[in-house]
Amino acid sequence: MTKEDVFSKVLDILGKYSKSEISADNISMETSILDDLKINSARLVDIVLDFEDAFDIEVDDDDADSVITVGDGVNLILSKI
Amino acid sequence: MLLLGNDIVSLKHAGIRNKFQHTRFVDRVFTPSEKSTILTSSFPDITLWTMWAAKEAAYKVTSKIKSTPVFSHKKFKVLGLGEIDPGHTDVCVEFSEKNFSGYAEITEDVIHVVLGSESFSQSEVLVTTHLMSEEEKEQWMKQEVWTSYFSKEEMESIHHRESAFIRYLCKNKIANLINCDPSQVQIIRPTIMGKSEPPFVLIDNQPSNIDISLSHHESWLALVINPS
Repeated sequence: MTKEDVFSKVLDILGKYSKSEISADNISMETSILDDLKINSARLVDIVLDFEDAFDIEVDDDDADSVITVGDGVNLILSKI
Repeated sequence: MLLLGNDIVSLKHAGIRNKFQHTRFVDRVFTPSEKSTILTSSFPDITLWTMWAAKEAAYKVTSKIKSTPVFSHKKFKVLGLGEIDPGHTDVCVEFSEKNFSGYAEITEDVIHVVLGSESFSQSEVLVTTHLMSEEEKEQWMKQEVWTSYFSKEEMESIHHRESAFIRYLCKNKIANLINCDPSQVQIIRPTIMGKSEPPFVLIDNQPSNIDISLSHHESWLALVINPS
């Protein structure tokens, strides 16, 4: 799976939870999940669980805590698949 | 010095309902003992979200004591929370052999938890909860409104209307408390290595002993102030 594939799948997952009106075209690796996409902390737990399901990986709390931006999520997933 | 943390959960938000049935969420966030309390409660959703808010509030206090610890929800253990009814409930969270005590105010609409680094009475702290009206939401969508109230340094931690409006409320409360103009009050929330640090208060550009904690969920906003 390429970085672009992972990025695209991550955007699909984040889209389920984002309250932001920001369009997918304007989301980059630097986009903040909490601040820019207006995703709350409870939803961040749901997103981590979705990452585990979608990519068949396990994400521990240390890893989950390091996910601030979309790029953090993509790179975490790439390191585990 | 008493350091405060608070968290607010809107119970009318669709993502809140029946979360206790989401086994993997429950297993990831709660200890076996907490899970048992939730699943045997007459109000499992309210119990779950009170515990969640307690963990979040305790994390905010801890972040003021030691720099941004890893937020592992299960390591923040909610102690002795029994059957929960709407109203006032004492809450205690243990993390790393330290207890953080406080309370939860629970209504049909919202749960608000306030915890401190040491015991405190409610008369020592200023607590405000606020439901944003449609007019306020419309007004605070505009970035030009933000720039009229906040300094460049403050703007760095303001990302949407809720974070702007809660700071506006907090600045006015502090100004009222110490009898100054809100423009003399700044709320700064630095970001270090991408992670937000706890907010702190400057008065006339100088550090102050005023401790604050801010929270919002959906249209509900909450703030607590220890004026010291």
